[in-house]
Amino acid sequence: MATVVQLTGAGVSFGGVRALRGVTLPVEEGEQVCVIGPSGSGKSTLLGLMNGRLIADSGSVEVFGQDLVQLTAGQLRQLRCGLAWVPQDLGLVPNLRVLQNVLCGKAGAVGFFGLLRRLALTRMEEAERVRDLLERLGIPEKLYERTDTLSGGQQQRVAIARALYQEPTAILADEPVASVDPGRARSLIELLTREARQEGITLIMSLHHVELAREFFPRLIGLQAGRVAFDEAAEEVSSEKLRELYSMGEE
Amino acid sequence: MKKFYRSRHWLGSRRLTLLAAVLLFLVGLLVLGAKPEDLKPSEGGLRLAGKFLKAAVQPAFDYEAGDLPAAAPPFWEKVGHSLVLTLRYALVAMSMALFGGLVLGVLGSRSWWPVVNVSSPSGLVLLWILRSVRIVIRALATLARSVHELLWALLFITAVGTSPLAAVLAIALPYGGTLAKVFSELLDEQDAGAANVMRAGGAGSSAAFLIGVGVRAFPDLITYVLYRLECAVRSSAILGFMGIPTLGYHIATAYEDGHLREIWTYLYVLLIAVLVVDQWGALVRRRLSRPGPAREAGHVDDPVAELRRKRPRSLVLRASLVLAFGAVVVGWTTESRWQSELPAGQRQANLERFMREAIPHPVREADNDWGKLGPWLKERICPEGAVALHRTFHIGTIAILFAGCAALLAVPFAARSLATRNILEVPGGRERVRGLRAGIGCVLRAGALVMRSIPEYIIAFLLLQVLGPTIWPLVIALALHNGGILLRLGSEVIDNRSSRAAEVLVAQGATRSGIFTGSLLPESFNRFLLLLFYRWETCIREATVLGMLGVLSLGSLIDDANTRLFYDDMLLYVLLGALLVFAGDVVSDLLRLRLKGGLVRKGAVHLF
Amino acid sequence: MVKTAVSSLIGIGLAGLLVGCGGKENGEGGSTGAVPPALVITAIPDEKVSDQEARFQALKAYLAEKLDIKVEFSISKDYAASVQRFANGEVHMAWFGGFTGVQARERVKTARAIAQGNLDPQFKSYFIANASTGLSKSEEFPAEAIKDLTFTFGSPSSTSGRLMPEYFIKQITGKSAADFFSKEVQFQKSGGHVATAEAVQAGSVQVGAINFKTYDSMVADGRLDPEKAPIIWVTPDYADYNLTVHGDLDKHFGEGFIDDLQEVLVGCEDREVLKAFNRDKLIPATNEDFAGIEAVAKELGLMR
Repeated sequence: MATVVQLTGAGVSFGGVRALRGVTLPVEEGEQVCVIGPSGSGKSTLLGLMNGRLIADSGSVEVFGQDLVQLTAGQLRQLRCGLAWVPQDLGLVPNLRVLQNVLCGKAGAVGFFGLLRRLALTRMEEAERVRDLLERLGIPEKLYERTDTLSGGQQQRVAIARALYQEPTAILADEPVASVDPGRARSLIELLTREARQEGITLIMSLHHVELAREFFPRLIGLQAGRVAFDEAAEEVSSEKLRELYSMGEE
Repeated sequence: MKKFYRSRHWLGSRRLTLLAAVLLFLVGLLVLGAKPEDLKPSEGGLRLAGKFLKAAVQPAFDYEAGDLPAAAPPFWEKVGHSLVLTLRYALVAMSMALFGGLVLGVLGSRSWWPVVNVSSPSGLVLLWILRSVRIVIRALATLARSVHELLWALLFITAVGTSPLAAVLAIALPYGGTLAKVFSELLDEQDAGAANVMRAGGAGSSAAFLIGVGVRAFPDLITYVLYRLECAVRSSAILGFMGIPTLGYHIATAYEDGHLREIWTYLYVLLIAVLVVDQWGALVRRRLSRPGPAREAGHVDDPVAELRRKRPRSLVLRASLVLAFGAVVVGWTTESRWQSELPAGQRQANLERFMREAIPHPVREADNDWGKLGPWLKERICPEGAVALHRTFHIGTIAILFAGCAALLAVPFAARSLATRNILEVPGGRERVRGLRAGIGCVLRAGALVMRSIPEYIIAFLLLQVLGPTIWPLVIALALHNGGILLRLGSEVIDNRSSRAAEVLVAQGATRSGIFTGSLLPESFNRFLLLLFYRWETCIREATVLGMLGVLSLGSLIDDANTRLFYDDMLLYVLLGALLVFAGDVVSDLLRLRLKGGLVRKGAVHLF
Repeated sequence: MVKTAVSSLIGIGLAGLLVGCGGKENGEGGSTGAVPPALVITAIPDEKVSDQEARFQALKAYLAEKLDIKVEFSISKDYAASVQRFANGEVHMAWFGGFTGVQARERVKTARAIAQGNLDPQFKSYFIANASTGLSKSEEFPAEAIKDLTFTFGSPSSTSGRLMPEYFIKQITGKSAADFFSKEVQFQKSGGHVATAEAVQAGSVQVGAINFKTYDSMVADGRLDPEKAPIIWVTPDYADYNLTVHGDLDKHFGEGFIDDLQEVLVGCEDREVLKAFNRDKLIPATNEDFAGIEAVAKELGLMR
């Protein structure tokens, strides 16, 4: 199985503060990994390193076997087409229709004019595909609605749909359910993990809900103050370990 | 014994601002030599005012003149033609400005910049180039806007000759500059989330920019363009004072002939035109920010075709687009002659001569010895130019302070959410006089609407005839017009605000003014200041041209130089005015940036 | 929504093409520099502008008939505009005042003054005052009496309404008008001499300088009451008013055109036609007739 992401001793700092240090992580194709840890432990930073939004100032980051720092802009773009990102604030365009937001997932693959064409004159097959995707996520009837008329949870699904539509090799999701109530959050995580497993997409997610992480993800990575505290199968992670991870105070 | 609580921060920024405002106000009055006695109109002035007000309720429906030349067209044809011309110039100018503004606005914003690798030297060079381009473009845009459209028109007409193209360019240049500036600000302020996601997914910069930022900014862009169109109609009307036959021209000639009722006809026509565009803009804005009326919702089982049929569509938006587009095309194609009738060779010669005369005459006469520039400049600027500059600044400043105070005092009575017996939608009791509150609010809002729809130039022109050539007509005209604008904007700020503190005060039984000063005002103070600063430098910009009506300030110096055909002097004073406005623009931007930093906003800042 | 936007962009592009084609037509028509189709006349707006159009109708017809050309009249919104349009070539012939004529001929070196009213070489201005000031006509300039009153000139470029009165004030009192009067001096930016007369009569200003002809004709018409706005001083004589033409008209309209034009104007006896200038008869004029005006203008700093 190919290695999708390989961090080796990676570290990055912001304004004098070391956000991550000495992170060594392989992620294989098709894996489902969840990064957990207290606020400020570096979860977002870690995901940022993986698709090149942040540059490591120590160690190396390899995605799809290529060292990110060595890539040209064009190669980086190419590489990113295989990575979908779902940020915490979703990054949807509020005045576009749901259909159009989802279509943006293919922006990298089809180029500027291809995207314009798709948004302005959507073909029937494309619309059908999006509708099927939305149906699997439970909101098919919202296909043509303006995205900002949807509820928070529904918008979350649209963001997920966009990531899935991209047909990426890996999805990086940064706290995708942070502002959603627990019940809703659970069904969303279930949805995403199921879809990813079905399509064979590698899933790397950061979560705050520890229980959900344990329930749905086979592999958990715990971060504390920028370091990897543990990187184990979910069964191996005891409640004791979790308590320690989230304890404040002495380092 | 009562002890007054001394706030430790008595020199806090808010009080400092107020103190500065009061000081500026008093200094301004002093510098301008504004005397309260001058406010009293002469006997002749009072009589004129009386006649004028009487004429307001009987606008002319036909020529007032007794004998007419044989070839005179029917009255309404004349009025209609003038209106069409006014609208046509406004539309065509806006289409040009929109194009220029979009291009320059994008170039002048940061949002289209590709991700630059700052650790590499080539990346740093690229960043430096991008930054310089941005600064240069924004400077150009601000410069274009710093010259008032009347002055652009004067320059074009003097240099080349009268023509519709001159009129259109005179509006398109400053408006293009403003649009460019506002567009780039809007684009920069947009939440880059969507663009970032697209870029992270491999999309190119242009796609990420256009869809992630551009589409997102679209509603605000369109809203602002429509607002500018309304302003363009006003600008087009006052170009009439430069001899171009739009509505302003007929108002001026009607006054000369003493046909006061005709003046009102033209004024009403202008008012209606401005109001129509204004309401249209408001309608489009509402539709863009909120989905339309309830319609059939899609069903879970519906196939794509069915869902597509049921999709939310806005008739208003589609119709508006077609209408706007059609109007612009009609405007462009129905002008019989864009350029003046002079042959191209003659136009070229005129332009060359103008450029030659623009060089200061001592320099010209000494065979382009630019060493002579210094003394010539000094002679012009000290003291005349500097005094005029100073006065222009104060005219604008005093006017906006007046307007701001008046608007602030009126907002509690005019804002929809306050001017009703159910304040902030909390049920109030029975009123002694039914509907009095709402009525007062209505009247105030209507007054503000009228004041903001009549161009300052026309108000000043009419007031000058009544009050005589003192500083007051200019100040009052600016104050009234801007007061109307500030009142409307201020009311919107209050209406759009959901203030928990205010509701608590209502529940506690506070009076209206108590609620206003106790909760709404402090919370919205920064927003009000923002509006004030925005209008402040617009006021100064208007003040530079109002002087052309005859009161000592930059405008009068420009007019004087024009009369003597001293184009070098004229250009110098125009430039001085532009520099003043440019400086005001920069200062206003800085102040607004500082204020905005402290504001928690939902979405982009509301534009005017 | 996006769809309509894209299609309208295409549409705008098409419209742009349309404009381009339309523009070319217009451009081509103008750039050949061919014979101008008509003689364009203008006049300084020394009285109300709307009257002008009507007054010049008879002159237009007369010239068109006598010279077998098309004639057009075009209003200028103020004095400066009339000079600028003459200099720009937008008008070929203009009825100027003394000062504006000098300005025009200075800008267009080949321009010639060809005619003026028969009494114009001995033109004068009146200083008039509102009855409330209690002043009456005096031989001497009433410097003491008027220096603290409100005063207005006519249009800023007017010879009889500004240039010469200011010159005489300077000559007699040794001070410029701005220094002499304690209150700020006003100008009538629109409406010319009629506006001055009406302002003084109504009392919105106490003293004014006005063209003697306008005053006399307004009194004759009953538009002005000499009791309410009496003359308080008459200036010495000077030359004013002229018809000036572009020197190259001969090239456009044929050899000797300007001489013919002069002949036709001077020989005109039709009162309707002469109403355009408010004169009884026209006599020939030359540029030199106005050398005095030019000197005054330069002395007052209104010209370089």
